[in-house]
Amino acid sequence: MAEMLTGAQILCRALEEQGVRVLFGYPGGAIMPFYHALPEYPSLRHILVRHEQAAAHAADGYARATGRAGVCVATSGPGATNLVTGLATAQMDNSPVVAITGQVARAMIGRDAFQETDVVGITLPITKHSVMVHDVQDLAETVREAFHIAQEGRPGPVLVDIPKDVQTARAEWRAGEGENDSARDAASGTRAGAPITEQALHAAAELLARAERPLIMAGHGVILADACPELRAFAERTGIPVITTLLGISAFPDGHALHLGMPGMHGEVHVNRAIQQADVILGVGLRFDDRVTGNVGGFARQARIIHIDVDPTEIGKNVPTEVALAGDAKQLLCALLGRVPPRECRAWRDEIAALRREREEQYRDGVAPDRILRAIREASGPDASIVSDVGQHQMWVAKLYPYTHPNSHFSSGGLGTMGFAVPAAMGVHFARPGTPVWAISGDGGFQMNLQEIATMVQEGIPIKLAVFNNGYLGMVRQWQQLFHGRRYSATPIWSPNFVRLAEAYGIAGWRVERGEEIAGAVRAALDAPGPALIEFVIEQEANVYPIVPPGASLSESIPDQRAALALA
Amino acid sequence: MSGAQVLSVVYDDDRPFTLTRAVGLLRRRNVSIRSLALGPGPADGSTQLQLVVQTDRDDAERIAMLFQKVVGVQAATTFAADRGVARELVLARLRPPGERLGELLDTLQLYRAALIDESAEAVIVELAGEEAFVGSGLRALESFGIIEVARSGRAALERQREATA
Repeated sequence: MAEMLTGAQILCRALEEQGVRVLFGYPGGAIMPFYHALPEYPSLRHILVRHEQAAAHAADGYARATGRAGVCVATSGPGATNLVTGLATAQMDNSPVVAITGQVARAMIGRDAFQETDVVGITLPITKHSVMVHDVQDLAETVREAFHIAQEGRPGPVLVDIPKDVQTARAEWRAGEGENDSARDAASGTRAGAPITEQALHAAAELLARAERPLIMAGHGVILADACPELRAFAERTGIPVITTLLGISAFPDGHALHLGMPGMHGEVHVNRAIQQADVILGVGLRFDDRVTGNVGGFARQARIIHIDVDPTEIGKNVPTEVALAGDAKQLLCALLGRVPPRECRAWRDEIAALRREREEQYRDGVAPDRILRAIREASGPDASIVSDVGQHQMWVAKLYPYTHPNSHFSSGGLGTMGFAVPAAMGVHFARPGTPVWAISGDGGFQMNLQEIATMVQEGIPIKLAVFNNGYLGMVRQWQQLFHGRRYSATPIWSPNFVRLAEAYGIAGWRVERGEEIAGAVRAALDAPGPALIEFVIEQEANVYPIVPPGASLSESIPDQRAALALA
Repeated sequence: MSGAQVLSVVYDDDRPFTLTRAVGLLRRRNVSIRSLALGPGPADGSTQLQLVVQTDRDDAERIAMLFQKVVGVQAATTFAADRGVARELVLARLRPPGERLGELLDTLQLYRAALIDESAEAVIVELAGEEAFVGSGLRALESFGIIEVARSGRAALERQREATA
C-alpha cells in the first residue's frame, strides 16, 4: 500500500533521498510543520544557527567544500529575507545551495498576512531558480528538480518556497526514479552550448602551440569541474605558467614552478605584467571579472583569448574571445592535452621570473599578516581549510598563505560579503570533519556574524577563529587613504574585548600583540577541543599592495607604499 | 549597431514566473521594451513571448542566450527587426460618426481597416499593419474623435530564416 505522508514528511524524505546529512536553519511559524516532522528523520542533522544569513553561508560553505548542494531552512517573512545576502553570495560564486522557506498558507498569500513576503519574487534575480510549491503532489519532484538545477552545469542557489498548508497536506510518497535527469534538463531549460567542434579544439591547440608568451588563467570553474589534476597535467606538458584568480586559488599548487599567483586589483606586479605581455591567454572557468581585468579596455591588449567555460553566456561577455570552448573544463582540458605538443616555454618563463621582485617587508615586525598566516599553516598542516572574510585580510590570506591542496581556500569573491567567513566555516567543517578549519576575518566582518559562536558551542563545531584587528574597516580606509585624500569617514571601528567575548561564549580566546606570541597562540587554539578565538592586533594602517587603482588598467599597478605615497 | 531587435521566447505555461524572469533580465540590463506580445506557443502548454527592444545585435544575441538559461524556457531566438516583417493590431473606440459615416468608411478602406462594433455611444474599428502604418491610420482617425485605443504589441517573423545549426 502506498504511503500517505504529510508535505513536511515528504520534504524530509526527499532531502534524505538527495543524500542530505546536515541542514542549517531556524524555525518559525510558517515552517513549523517541517520542524515537527524533522525528529522522525534522525539522519537529517539540523544545525540551529543564530541568524538565517548564517544558515545560507553555512550551506554555501558546505557546498563549496563538497561540490554537493548545501541546504538551509528558514521561515517566511524575515526568516526568508535574511537568507537573501547568503543566496546572492552563492549565486555570484556559483555555489549549489538549496534554500527551503516556509510560506503563509495558500489562502493567505497576497493578503499581507503575518510574516508574508514574496521571497520567490525577491530572490528571482539572485538565484539560479526559485519556485513556490502550490500542490503537495508536486513537492517531492520539485525538491528533486531543485537539487538537480542547483548542482548541474554551472551551479547556483535554488529556493523552494512551501506554504504552510502544503506542508500539512497529505500525498502519496513515491521514491524518485533517479533517471529523470535528462527530462529535468529539458524541463529546466538546461542547455549545453554549441557542440565543441574539432575545428575549435584544433584552433585552440594551434594558438597555444605557436604562442611565444602564453598564459593560463584558472578560476573557480576548475575547482567546480574537479579539473585540478587535468589543469596541472596540461600546464606541465605545455610549460605554460598558471595564474589563479581569487576563487581559483588552490586549483593549482602554490610553490609549483609554473604557478605565478593572483592577478588583478591586488595581483602581484609580475602577474599583471605577464598578462599585459601575453600573446595567448587560455582562460579556464573564470568570467574575467573587473577585479581581475582592471579597466577592461586596457586588459591584455596583445593577447588572443581562448575561453573555456561551462556557461556559454560567459564567453565574450567581458573580454573579446578568439576561440570559444563552452563545456566541461575537465573534458576540454583532456581534449586539448592530446592536441598540444610538449614544450617548456623557457624563454617566456625566464622573462616573467625577471619581473618577479621580492616582496618588500610591508608590515612592521611583530604581528604581521605573513607571520600569522605562516604560523597557521605550519601548525595546521596542508589539509587545513582556510575560510576568509572580505577586506584587507582577505587579500593577505589569498596571497600569503601557501595552498597546496585543491579547494582548500574559501572566500566570497563575487559578492564580497563581509560576515561570510564565520558561518561558511561551519559548513566547511561538516564537509571535512576531523580536519582543521580556520575562519579568518577582520574586526569589521567578524562583528557581522560573530553570533554564530553560540551555534558552534551548542553544536560542537570546532572552528578556529582568527580576527585581524586593526581598528579600522581596513580596505575602505586604504581606499580613503590612497584615493579620497585620507578622509577616514566612518572607517574607525571599535571592538569589544574579544578574549572576554570568547569567555562569555565559554570558548578559549587569546589576544596576540607581539610577534613571538603568534605561534604559541595558534598551537593552543588548534589544541583546544572546541571552537577557539585568537585576536591578532595588527598594524592599524597596514595596506595591501600592489593595488591597481579602481578604473585603471593592470599596467598602472601601484607596487608598494613608497609608490603610493609618491602618488598621493 | 544599435537598432530595434526582435526577441522571441517560448516557455512552459505551467511556469508563470518565466515571464517575470524574462522581463527582469531586460530590466536588469536597462534594455527598454518597445513592444511586448504574448500568445499561445507552437506546442500545447507553451506560451510565446515576442519582444521588440532597442539595443545592438551582440547584446540581443547575449540576451537570447540568457533567456535560454531561464528554467522553463524552451527556445529563445532573436533577429534584427529590419530583417523581418512585423504587424500590430490596433482597436480604436471612436465617437459615433453620425453624418460622417461615409467619410469614416472611406478612411477605413484606405487603411484596410474595418468597423467591428457599433453602439449608440461609440464605434470600434480595427486596424493592423506595421508600426508606421497604424500610426498613420490612427492620425487619420483623429478627426472622428478617438476615445480609447488598445494595441496588441508587435508580432514579427524574420523574412528569411537564417540557417541554424
